[in-house]
Amino acid sequence: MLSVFWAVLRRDLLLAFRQRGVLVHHLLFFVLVVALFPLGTGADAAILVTVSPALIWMAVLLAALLSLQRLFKPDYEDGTLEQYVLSPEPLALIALAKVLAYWLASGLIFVLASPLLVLLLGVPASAVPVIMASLLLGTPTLGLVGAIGTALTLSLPRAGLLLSLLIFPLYVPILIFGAGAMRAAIAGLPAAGALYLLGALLVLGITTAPFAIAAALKISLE
Amino acid sequence: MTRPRLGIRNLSCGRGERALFAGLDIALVGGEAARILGENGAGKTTLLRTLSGLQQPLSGEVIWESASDRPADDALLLKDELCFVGHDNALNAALTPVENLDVLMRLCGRRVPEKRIRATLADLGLKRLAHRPCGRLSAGQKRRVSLARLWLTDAPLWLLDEPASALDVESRAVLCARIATHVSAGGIAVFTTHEALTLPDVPVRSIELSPC
Repeated sequence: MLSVFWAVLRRDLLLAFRQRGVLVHHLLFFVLVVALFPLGTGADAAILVTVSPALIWMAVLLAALLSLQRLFKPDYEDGTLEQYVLSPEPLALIALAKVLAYWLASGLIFVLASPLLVLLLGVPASAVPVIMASLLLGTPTLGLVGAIGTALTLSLPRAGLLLSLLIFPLYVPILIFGAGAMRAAIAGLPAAGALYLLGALLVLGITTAPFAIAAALKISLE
Repeated sequence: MTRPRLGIRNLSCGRGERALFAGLDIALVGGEAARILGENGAGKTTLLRTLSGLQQPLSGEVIWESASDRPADDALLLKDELCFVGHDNALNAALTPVENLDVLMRLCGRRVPEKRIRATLADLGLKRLAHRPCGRLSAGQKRRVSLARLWLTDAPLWLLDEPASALDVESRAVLCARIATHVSAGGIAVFTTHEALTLPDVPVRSIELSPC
């Protein structure tokens, strides 16, 4: 059973590596959204530090929305998705492997790029570990929740807008606690509470989202 | 040796609520092949997808009786014993034939050593292409790579949607021979086709789908 999990994970990571231009695009998008923002607000350091939690998280949400549309689409178009559904292995496990590969190739890169960006915004270096932890706990949940949305909208021709309408409301708790942890860290307050809640959301996502993704994929193929 | 059976009882299938065909009854036993005939849009692909379980029938039922002694209510029984080659090739354009086939076989729950995949591709005359991304192959070459699954699987039930599309005369003969071998070894093959596929020495039933 685990063999198929590793096989799908390895396949998708190999694909991400072969098509690494796409990864660079997502990373550049993330960096540019954050880097352009100060041009609009002016170089007032205090404002930038205040808005940086919201800014980082909005950039992550938008980048996730962009990249999520391609999560199942190629498999849907070339017929591989039919083989996932027909596999005697649990579809939820295959879905979890795909989301994990997706996160390793996008979310994790945002996490690794974030220290540079928040320092660029003038956030104190002491807040960086908490910021990274909040992204590390929050971005996989974004992937899991977003995958349900992409799976549901898979058979629709222009799903981008519908996808955002479907999943942005579900992203609200992650945004609140993710940005909350960052705000607390910047103010020098303990951020553990928000991080625990992000962790709890992640556990909830890992245990329930794969089944919802599997059900949504089956509906899309009918 | 018991033989597997595929039974279709009073089956109606359709797209959405609209029925494409209704009241289909077929019983196939191991050692028989069935060819589904019908004009474009008659529901040939829909029938194959319903048989595979990808789609639910509007009414009626599909019964798979395995030759193994596993209980008939085992939900994974059909999935374990099925090789489905759909209309699309299920090949990712950025992966090579060897990589694609490796994942496809693992998805079927069968682990095939890479050596065997390469040997099979070589037997099918695809040796040169084994490590080239599938996106750079021609339509016929992709189809042949996708069909290479038939040489790697031991599943008793084959559902093939237009297997011969884009194939040249020679590859078509190779495919026919492979289906015939499978069927005469006690397997069941159900396929749709527009080209005349003649299977040597094997009984082929014709199932005509007529619109209702």
